[in-house]
Amino acid sequence: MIKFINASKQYPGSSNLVLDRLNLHIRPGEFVSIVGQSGTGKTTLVKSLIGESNLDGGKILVGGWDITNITQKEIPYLRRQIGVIFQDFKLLLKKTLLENISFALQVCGQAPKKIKMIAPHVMKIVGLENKQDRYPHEVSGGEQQRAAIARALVHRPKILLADEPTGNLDAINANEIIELLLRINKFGTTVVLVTHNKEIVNRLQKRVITVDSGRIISDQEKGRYVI
Amino acid sequence: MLISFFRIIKFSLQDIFRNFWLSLVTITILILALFSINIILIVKVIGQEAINVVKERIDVNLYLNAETDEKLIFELKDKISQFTQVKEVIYISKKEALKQFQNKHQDNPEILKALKELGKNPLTPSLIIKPKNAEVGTELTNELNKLQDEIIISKNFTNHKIMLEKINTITQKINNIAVIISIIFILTTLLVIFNSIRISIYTHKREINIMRLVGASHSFVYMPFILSGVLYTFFGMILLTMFFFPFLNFLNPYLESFFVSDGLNLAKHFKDNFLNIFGVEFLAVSTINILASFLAVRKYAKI
Repeated sequence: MIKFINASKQYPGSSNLVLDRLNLHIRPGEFVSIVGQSGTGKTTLVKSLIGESNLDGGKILVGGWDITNITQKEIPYLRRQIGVIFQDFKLLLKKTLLENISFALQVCGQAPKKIKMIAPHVMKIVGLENKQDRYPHEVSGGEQQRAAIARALVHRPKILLADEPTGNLDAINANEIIELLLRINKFGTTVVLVTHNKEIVNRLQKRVITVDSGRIISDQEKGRYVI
Repeated sequence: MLISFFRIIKFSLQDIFRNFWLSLVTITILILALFSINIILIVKVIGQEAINVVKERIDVNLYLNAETDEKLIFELKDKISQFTQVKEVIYISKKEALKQFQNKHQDNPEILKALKELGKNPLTPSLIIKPKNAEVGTELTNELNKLQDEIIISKNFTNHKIMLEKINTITQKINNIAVIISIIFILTTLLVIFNSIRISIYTHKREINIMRLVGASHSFVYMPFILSGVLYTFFGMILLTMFFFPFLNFLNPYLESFFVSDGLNLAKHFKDNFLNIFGVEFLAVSTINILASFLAVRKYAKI
């Protein structure tokens, strides 16, 4: 599903490689946690996967598509196939939760009738069916993150990237979000979770990839947070 | 395609009304900018009218022999009225001339006393010749110079040509300076508008990022903001006309009393030239807004 082949990246003005000939293969349907200290290249991995950052060397394949030199025109199509959620939720503040989720469908020209069917259904999956007309500032952090997950799921992506999704949440909400991600993974979606949260990683008992200085230093099928 | 088009309009209108205060401030800045440009136009119109009024006041006076028979005077008047350059010839008799003199100096008792002591009317009859317009003034003076009649004792138009030339030179210089000042003012105003739109879009920076993250195409990211810029201009123009014409109607009575004529009607001038003035302003400001929106969104859409 996702392949990094000798991926390298160096930011201008820096002598260090953020990604140093990194090789990584994530299979379809896997739940993978990527852990590491700050500045080790985790976020650069995520950015490269969504076309936000180009590699200086190597290749990235997503579902067989070589996105290494993806053009500006192709980026929207890539992002419709990869659902992404972030620590700061990234919801549109002047739109309701339902409008935020519908927006992801509207941008690809989906018909209004289909949007009216899909958006409420996805909100039900994440447990927000009663909060459709609320604005982001009117709901809790956990609910905002669920709305972000719902938005990431509307295209039925094969991959869901979660970059520190529990960073701004308390322990209870954080656990609920992880449970939701596990449920999504059970339905066949590949989930890539980038996190600092030791407890979550250790509880998951899933594949753990540890990154340090732009390289993979550990890759365990039922791993633990070992940094 | 059509669905996307209507969605873009919907997003644009939603954005304008859900960011009400930001929209209000942006539109207010547009209105103030356009109002100030229209003030320049008003000043130009008033200035031009003032110059025309001065030019029209340049009359040619023919002073006639005091003992002349009125029949001969009227014959001369008719002859001069036939000139193509002449708009009107007014005959001022000795009596009328005395009356005008007394009215002019009514606050000056010494002059009135001196006149009384003379015992007789020292003033002469005259013909006041009004040219059709300032441009034919020189032609008219040339024709009058050729005129030979015994009853004419003095022709007061030797300075007319010089005065007209001076007025024309001053007018030209004023126009040139006014053009330069107008250009500077208009450029400054357009920069203010440009910046206002950029600031407005800066507040949407996060939103633009999110739109790109969920896979919005270029047109879907750009078009709502570009359309908002045009809508700001449209709403701004409507509000401007709602304030501007009452302002002109308020100004008109003062101008009429100043020019002592009903020739200048600012509201009528702007109504008659509505498309030329407001149409051009709409196109110019819309263009600036579209350009500003495009450049600002391009800056923040690169993620």
